Amino acid sequence: MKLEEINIKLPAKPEYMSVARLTTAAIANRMGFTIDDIEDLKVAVSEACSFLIRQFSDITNLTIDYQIDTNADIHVTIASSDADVVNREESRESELSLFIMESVADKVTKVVDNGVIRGFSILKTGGNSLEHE
Amino acid sequence: MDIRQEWNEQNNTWNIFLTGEIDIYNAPELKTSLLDLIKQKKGNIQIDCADLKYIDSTGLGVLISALRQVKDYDGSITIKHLKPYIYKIFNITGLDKVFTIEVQE
Repeated sequence: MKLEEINIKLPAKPEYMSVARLTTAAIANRMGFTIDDIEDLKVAVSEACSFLIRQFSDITNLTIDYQIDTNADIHVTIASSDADVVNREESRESELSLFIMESVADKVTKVVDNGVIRGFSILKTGGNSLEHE
Repeated sequence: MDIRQEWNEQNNTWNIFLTGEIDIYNAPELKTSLLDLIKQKKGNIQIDCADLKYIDSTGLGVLISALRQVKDYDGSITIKHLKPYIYKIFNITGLDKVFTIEVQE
């Protein structure tokens, strides 16, 4: 069951990737994840954002939705609300992104529209605390 | 990200020191710097990552491109003082077998 939700919207520009990583690390830290798991989630979210920026020309924004459930698991959905984006051919870096994401997250679901990857849903389990200070 | 480099004539090696985070934003700068050094002197490359905090797939792509160029003249790329959590990314992508890597204790 969903317990808490955080949504951010960023310009789909490379210079904002550090913001996505910092936000992700802060949320994972708040949830009591271990340092290794915080790093894993940060890496997965950053790779998902980079994948979408690389893959689409004319992309203007990225939305990152963090949903924390009652088991202190986190579901992160990364997507773009842009309707008209042009899909580029998948690069070597994009293949690496997919591989890294799938290795560091517990589950990665591709959001596919007409055969094109439009976003990702990432699950990381193992948080242990949602108590408010 | 900050890149500092020194040429070691004795070892025929570029010693490169990377600081901070390498991602899709600044990886092109790293690529330009590495290719520029290779153009100046065709030596081996030793990258000190003691102060490197993060590298993403774009940064890995740059290192792979540089390795291809260096291998063309039978050179090598060694990565030193890599933090264990960054080594993990090299390991899961199989790049630990492509580069000579020393992990920071």
